Amino acid sequence: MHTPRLSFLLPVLALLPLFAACKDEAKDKTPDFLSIGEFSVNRKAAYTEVRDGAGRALALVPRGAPHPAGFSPAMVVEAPVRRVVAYRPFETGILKALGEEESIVGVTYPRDKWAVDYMRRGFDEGRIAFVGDFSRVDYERIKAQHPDLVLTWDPSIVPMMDSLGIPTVVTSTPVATCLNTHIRFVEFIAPFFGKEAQAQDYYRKLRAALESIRARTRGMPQPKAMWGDIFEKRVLVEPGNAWVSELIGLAQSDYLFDDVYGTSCIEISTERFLYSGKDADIYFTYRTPDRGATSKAALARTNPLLARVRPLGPEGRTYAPLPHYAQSADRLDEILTEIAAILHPQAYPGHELRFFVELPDEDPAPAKDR
Amino acid sequence: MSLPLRFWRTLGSIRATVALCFLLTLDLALGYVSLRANLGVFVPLGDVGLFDWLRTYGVYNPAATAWFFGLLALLAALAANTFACTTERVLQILATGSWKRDWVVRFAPHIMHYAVLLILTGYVCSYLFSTSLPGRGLRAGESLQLPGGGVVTFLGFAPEAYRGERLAAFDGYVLHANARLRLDAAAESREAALDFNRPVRFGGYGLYLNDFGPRKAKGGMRRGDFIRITLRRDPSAPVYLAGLALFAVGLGLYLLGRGMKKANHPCTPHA
Repeated sequence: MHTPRLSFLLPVLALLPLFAACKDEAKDKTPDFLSIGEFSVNRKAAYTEVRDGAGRALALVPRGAPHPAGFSPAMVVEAPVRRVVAYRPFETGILKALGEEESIVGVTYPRDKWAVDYMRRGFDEGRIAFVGDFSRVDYERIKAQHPDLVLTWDPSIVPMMDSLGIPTVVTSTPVATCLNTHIRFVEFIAPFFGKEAQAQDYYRKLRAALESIRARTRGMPQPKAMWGDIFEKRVLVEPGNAWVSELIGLAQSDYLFDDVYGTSCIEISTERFLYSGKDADIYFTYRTPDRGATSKAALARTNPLLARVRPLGPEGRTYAPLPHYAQSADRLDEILTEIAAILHPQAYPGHELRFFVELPDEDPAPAKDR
Repeated sequence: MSLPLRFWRTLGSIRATVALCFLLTLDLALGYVSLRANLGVFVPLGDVGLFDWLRTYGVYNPAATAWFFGLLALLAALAANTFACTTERVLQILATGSWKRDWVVRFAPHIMHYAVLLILTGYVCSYLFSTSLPGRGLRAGESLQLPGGGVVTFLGFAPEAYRGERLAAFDGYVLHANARLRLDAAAESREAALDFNRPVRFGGYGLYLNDFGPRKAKGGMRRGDFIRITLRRDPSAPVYLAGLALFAVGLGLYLLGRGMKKANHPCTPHA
């Protein structure tokens, strides 16, 4: 009987383990190529090519260096960037983590919406300008700030920015970013500012936080959590592929919208929301206390349907983010730990909430009624 | 048997085919899992080209892409196996045949095999030689100059929105954007509608819709009409289209052969 002669396949199979070896080698030095979810950084001889969340390729060149061929002026960024307009508070937090908060010259939230000192100070010093609400930014105001770069989640502004000759990076992606992309996004931003070393320090801090969460929550009973809200006309949740969902899974918990896939803050039907809500132990609302999330009763008043979710009753827990939560990407390790502490209070005895608040059943009575 | 002949026979053996198919199944099963977990690594493959992708995303994400390297190697081996196997058989038929109808139809499966090889070659060439310009944004009224001449102007949308109560939350959401484009070149000027899975061909380029806004026909966060498109020039498209045509010819011959066999079968009732 003949045996199959597969010897010509052996070289193919033998090659596979070699690829595994590449990874360890890459850890020892800054790799020439980084892919971070949809984002990438490709260091070439004369310039660095970055690919943003919309799949657009931009060239990073040293200041004063000739622009590479094949890139329009608005697709070339002179690094290090000195003046940046940032749409999302997440990006301002990342810039703070890199020590680049002084580079921020424009944002889409007015001064009174900022809860972090360095941003308020930037407004007070006249360095930072409010360039208009994200839904109707003032392009002339952006231009007047002379930014080297605009970081935006809104791809619809790119054509206008191109016509103004202002390089723009789209920081949003077609689907929600996973946990790995979320904690490594700093590695995408760092080359614009020449802060790769600071990015590595920040990333290591986050890795350590995640490893600690994994270790502390191992073997714990799994609470069921949901993250989203019912607004006037829309029901929005974090999908199963979002970083919060993955974090909840990593922290030995059950995310109830795990089967939902798509963009961050995705719209689902009210029925789907309520279906999961009847089983949930913990509920994270999008609303901050200054937007009505002061108590379970107050949330229920905003939409009576919300009262049907279990965590709004006496047997569940409901948490609202504080205003500085979304603006504190520089303290992301603390945020990750806090979410784990909310899910497993027994693993974090004595933990004091700094980014979230647990909602009481009722609002406290006004002082004059006491 | 000489060494080259032995190698040729081994290359085209049915045992190798079965083994390769088994390994391909295994590899694609790994790929299924890896693709779901690392979609972002594979999305740029269509934009940056195969070699650049292998050099960057491929090599720097070995845990996610090893299966793809394996797939390329296995597909190359399967192509060689198919070529050797089918050529061996074609030579045998040629040596014994005459130009009669029942003799010609014996080539049918082999024509289909060659067609599959041509399709595979076309796809490889497409990844190797196509050029792609991703993420070009246009607002209503704006134009884009194609590298080889020709101007694309985005005129606006003729959207088809979802209207219904079954999915009330999605009422008013755009199902088909139908972005209206005006395409101007020296030789032609016309209008076309661009949508997902409905690209527009113009000036040697394929125009593909990546994104558009607003997504809701009325209300929602309206920030002006815009589209984001990818321009793609693929000189190898005729190769795999030729492969598809050849496959159709082979299939036609095969069906003809089946019909002849059925007609000549002793149990077939004749009119």
